[in-house]
Amino acid sequence: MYTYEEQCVMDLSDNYTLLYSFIGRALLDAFGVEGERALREGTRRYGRDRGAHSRQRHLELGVKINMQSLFSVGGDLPPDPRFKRELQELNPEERVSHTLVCPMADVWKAYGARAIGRMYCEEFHPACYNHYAYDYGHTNLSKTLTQETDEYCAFNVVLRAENLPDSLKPKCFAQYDPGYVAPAVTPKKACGKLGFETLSIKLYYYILEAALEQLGEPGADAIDRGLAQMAADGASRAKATANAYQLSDLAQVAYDTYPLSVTPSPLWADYSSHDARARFTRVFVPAFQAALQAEVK
Amino acid sequence: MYTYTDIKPQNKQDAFSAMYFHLTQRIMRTCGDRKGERLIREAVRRAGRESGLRQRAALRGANVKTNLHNLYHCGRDFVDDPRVRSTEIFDEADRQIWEVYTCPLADYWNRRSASKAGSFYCEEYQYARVLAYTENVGQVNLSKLLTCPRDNFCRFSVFFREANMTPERAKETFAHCDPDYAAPQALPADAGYDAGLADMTIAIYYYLLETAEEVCGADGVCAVAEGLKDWSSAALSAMRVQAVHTLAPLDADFARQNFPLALTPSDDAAWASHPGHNAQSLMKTLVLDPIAAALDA
Repeated sequence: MYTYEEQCVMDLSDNYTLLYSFIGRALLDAFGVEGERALREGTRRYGRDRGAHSRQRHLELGVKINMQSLFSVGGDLPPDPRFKRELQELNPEERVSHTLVCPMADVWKAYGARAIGRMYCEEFHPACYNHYAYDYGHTNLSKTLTQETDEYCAFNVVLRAENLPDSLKPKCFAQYDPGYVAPAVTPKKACGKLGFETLSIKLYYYILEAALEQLGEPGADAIDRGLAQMAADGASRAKATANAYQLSDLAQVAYDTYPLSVTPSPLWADYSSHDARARFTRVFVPAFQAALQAEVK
Repeated sequence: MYTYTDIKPQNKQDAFSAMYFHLTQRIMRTCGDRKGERLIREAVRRAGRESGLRQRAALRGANVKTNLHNLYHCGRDFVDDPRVRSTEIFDEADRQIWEVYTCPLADYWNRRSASKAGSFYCEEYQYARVLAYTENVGQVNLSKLLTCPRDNFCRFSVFFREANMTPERAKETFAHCDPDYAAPQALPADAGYDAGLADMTIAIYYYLLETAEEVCGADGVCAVAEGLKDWSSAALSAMRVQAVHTLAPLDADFARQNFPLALTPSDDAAWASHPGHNAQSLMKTLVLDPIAAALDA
């Protein structure tokens, strides 16, 4: 059995994963391919945001913007104990790995949302990794656990120095920056709640933004329906964890295991346009609280 | 075991691989590893783009949907040699996935310790071809490649999703988005093997010469010229062996069937669309004429 702390990380990850499929399903059910268009566009924007954020953090640390840094310096999430990977190569130009067990793919499959998860895989990874590398990276993900018949994910993410303009080479590769000495970077312990809450807010925000742009208010209404379904599911998952660990304070378990907090978080500060936070507060929070109350009874 | 009919196209294919090998070796040696890699990758991308744009134009002209199925199955400008062993995993309008287990190009380069230069071709050609064909909307994933010592197969996963393109492009791409569409009675035929390989040989050579000149000036042109001399000598040696092994006289007819370029340039139509950089004249002087002279002798 996992420790409670490990279980919290797994629940945070699963609920973040389900945010995507609940919102995605609501958009697809309401709008078909136009909903998919908004979902994919929102996913790309989210990926680019994360890529740009990682790049900025790495620039501040003084490390080179390359594949080795991207996949080894300062991750913002604690490890999920279910995740199994075989690393084949990690150097400044390449990161090659097989994901043998992906909890995200497993959750999507369990909820009948493999095809929605596939959209995430197709859009998020290239948007994030390529944009991190100033849009000169190339993400190859030719096998994915969200694709029927595939038995692992085959990541081959490359940034070729010789495909960069001369102005970027010193920023990305030490061999183009004479005298560069890599800084000593002390890894910080990642906080699961903070990490997943940040990611969840961003993911919701960008999908809402794309839906509003492409589908108008009916798009946002569909997302609201997804949020309401997500709230009910999240409450029942919190209850399951509380039961498994014999904990009586369901509100605390919900806080520990659900990435989005019912109390206003400062993390929304940069992601409150489009009425995003207000919509979340109006739709998700009461639905989540009501569902938790129902679980207590 | 292969028949005489099979062996001739194999010899032509190997001569193409030899050209790429000799030119890239000379370029890397003369221009240096960094500039050499840069210009080789760019040359391969240009050739790939040209192929993608040409096929899209041909399919549009024939009123054939410009989707991924037709990119890889209809009116192709290049067909595989008989030694290719591959399996198609998904053949759909918006998804093409296949694996290659035996590739004569990779075999040729790997046996000559030229895997790295070979990998430039693998990483850039299809990527550029698909991006050109799809106006940069398609996705190409190549996580495994036979020119990488780690891998024992190539895995291509190519996507061109309706939700990522405009409704107008979707109508042009997919029959289900164009209710009035009637497919033409006769679909465009693939290029003949010989014509396809001649086109490919001329395009790769031409763009190597073009980018070598752009990046390295006269040194770049000299590198390509030295590579052509190497190729001419190697091609003659190979044809002598091939003629002996197949009990055939080494004459102009043998060259026509076993060498990818016509010894008289006007017989290869592809030269007309690659008129610059004195490319045809250089090829004639350094490769075609010496081979013709040796055959006459």
